[in-house]
Amino acid sequence: MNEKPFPFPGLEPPEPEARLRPRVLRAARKAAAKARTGRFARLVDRLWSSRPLRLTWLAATLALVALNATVDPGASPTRTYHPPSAVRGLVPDELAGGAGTERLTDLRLAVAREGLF
Amino acid sequence: MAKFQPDRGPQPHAAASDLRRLLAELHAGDIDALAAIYDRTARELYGLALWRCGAEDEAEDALQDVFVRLARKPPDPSKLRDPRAYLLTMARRSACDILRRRRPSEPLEGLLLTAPEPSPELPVDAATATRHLARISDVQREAIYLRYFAGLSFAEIGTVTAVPTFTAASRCRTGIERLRRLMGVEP
Repeated sequence: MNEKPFPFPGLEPPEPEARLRPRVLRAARKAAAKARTGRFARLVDRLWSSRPLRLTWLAATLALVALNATVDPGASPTRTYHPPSAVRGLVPDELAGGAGTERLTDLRLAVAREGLF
Repeated sequence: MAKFQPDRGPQPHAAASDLRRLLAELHAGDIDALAAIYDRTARELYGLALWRCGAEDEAEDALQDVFVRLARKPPDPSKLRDPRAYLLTMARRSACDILRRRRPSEPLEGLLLTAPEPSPELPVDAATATRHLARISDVQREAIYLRYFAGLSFAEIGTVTAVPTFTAASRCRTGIERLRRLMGVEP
């Protein structure tokens, strides 16, 4: 297609005035700040305005506090490495071969010692 | 298709990669990137809004609206095919929203064209050119702006204005032909 040139050579659309820049950027920053606080405020508002959500949050918090107070940190399960030489004779040979690579836990070792195999 | 190169010299368009990087920074939470985005795009976005609305104060409002929406919900640039076309689309939508709110019969108020350097040899002065531009339709005017001043291809104009490529090309051609008739030149 043979396109015609622009019929008004030498003329250009005007530029935005310099005073517009700070106005636009100020409005944009304000909107961004409002959007950020708005998201958090909406979440808090939603949490506090809904009775079931409020009760769920309270119950979850209480449960976590109670569990934290009652559970003994020393009772957490530990993993101990037992080399193949340590378990030789306690477990069948086909399991003893894998013990070195997989790290037999205390529980599995106890099961093996009780002669379940 | 090769982009049309107007004979009045290239316009300083924002490079797509540069704009994408700035939008990524904004998306990551760096609000200062907005100033750099403004410096690279405001002229083009303002021009489009002005050619669509025809009034300087409305074009200013449209430009502000674009940046407020960008700040409120920054787009993920990895999901944008063309960041510049995306911003032009935003400016056009803001201008269209403003146009919808006002009375449809209001005439153009601002000058749509100015002479960057005063020259007595210009074939048409800015006021006459604006008068002629006011007599073509809004959609023809915006297509001409996007073609000759934003340097978009017809496909890109179609994307920005949400019409098929052929329609974008047709609007541009008929708009230019009408302008030439108004000036007494054979289309």
